[in-house]
Amino acid sequence: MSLFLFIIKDGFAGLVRSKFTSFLTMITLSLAVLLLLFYFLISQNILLKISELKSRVTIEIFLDPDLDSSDIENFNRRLQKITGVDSVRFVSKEAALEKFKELFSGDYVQLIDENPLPASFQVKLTAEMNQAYVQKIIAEIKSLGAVDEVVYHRKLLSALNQYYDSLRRIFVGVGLGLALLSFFLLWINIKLTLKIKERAIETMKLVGAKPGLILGPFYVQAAIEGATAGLISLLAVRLIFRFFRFDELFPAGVNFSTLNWAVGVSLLFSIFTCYWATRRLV
Amino acid sequence: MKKIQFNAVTATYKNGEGIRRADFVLNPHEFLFLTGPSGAGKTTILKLILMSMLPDSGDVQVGKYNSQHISKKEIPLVRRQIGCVFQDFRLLEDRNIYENIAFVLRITGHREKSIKRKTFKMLAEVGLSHKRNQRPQQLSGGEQQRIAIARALANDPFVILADEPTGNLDPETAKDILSLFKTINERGTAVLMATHNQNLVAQYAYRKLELKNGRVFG
Ligand SMILES: Nc1ncnc2c1ncn2[C@@H]1O[C@H](COP(=O)(O)OP(=O)(O)O)[C@@H](O)[C@H]1O
Ligand SMILES: [Mg+2]
Repeated sequence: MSLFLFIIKDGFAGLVRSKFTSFLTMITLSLAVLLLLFYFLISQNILLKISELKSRVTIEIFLDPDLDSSDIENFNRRLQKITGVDSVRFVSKEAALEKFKELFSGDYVQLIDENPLPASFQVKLTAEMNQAYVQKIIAEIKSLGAVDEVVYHRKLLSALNQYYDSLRRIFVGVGLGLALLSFFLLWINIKLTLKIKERAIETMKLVGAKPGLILGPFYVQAAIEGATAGLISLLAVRLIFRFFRFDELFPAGVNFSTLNWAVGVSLLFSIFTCYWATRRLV
Repeated sequence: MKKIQFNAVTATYKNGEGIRRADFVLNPHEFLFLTGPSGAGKTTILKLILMSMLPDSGDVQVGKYNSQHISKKEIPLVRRQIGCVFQDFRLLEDRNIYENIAFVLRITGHREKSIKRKTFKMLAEVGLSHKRNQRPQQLSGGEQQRIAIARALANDPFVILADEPTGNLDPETAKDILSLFKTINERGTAVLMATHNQNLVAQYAYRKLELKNGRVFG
């Protein structure tokens, strides 16, 4: 048995000796990681939706009804030159009415004798954009003149953004709480073991054991606990998705293979905790 | 030939107690008693040899290592050439007798085969091979001390430090343990034994160092 195997064996022995606290530690840690995974999945989905929505956001420019066709042509040309404008579609008075009739089929359309709808341009913006950028473009459009009104469908987007923000706050809050709890449990577990083994550790030092050999088993135990907690959380995610349906939350489905990093995070977390708990020992 | 030498060593605890200007040599293969009432500073001397305590002034030479130049990393190496036996045995309670002895061989990187051979040899030497699978708590005091001695010898140290090794044993067992140390010494290992038991010391003709209030006489 090499020294390495000996350390690993001692680590396992430590795990068995402190079954209960180790179990508690692993459960708490896996809950924390599970939450992290859900946060990851949900935010991944929301971010996807937001970017999808952003790409669909158009600015509608309702034109001054007095414009004639050459004015409109002129406006169109100047509109296309604005940076950030991707595509421009002209919707004539007649086309707007058709659309309106489609939306509100029924008798009362017939009450309309004169077409009250203005002509408009539907403008799609390029790529990434934020509120400030959109506002800048809108201002530029307004400065072209001949514009009656500019409508930007930002309400849905900002609602989604707000939802995402509050979700993040909840997850970060609860997640930090759970992470802190698991840190504390891991830490207590290691400190208790150190206290119980205080004399044995002193003896080991006196017979010439190096610090690495004395601390090695603690790291092994922490690593096992961390990796196990990570695996438990991965398993839990799969089980949860098997027994519950979250179609509205995850319309695109969930790709479990993108979640394996959780094991690494959990592992690093417990190794870090072990380092923190034992750093003053030698 | 390895020896231990104290050169004008003063070593004190925070409360001012400790050792004052200690000068002595433990020669190769020598058996030396360190006597004196409890609180005289015997254990402190042993701590200085193990370098778990360093002198305020003066220096301690242990084989090729000197307390003035020792680095933290070298301290385990100092201890590996020393065998240690304590009043309260200090076996590792969480593993069996065999593993207790094997431990010191594992930490010095012996191969499994040589660990096995040496551990069995040590067990035989102290006459406790049949107890190898038991836990320390299952053994009598005298048996535990013999295991501790076996452990101390496993790495072929040049010296055995014994701190009141008979303090927790009845007189009969104490005698046995002392004659075991005598045998060990006759085979060439130096022994430095701290004890306040004058009766025991009187039975042997070995050199004695007397400690009183942190001063060495002898
Ligand atoms: N860790 C310590 N802190 C403070 N004082 C100590 C400590 N250890 C020993 N002493 C004091 O140092 C003196 C020598 O102690 P020690 O070497 O243990 O004596 P002995 O082993 O001969 O009984 C005593 O007065 C004791 O009280
Ligand atoms: Mg003492």
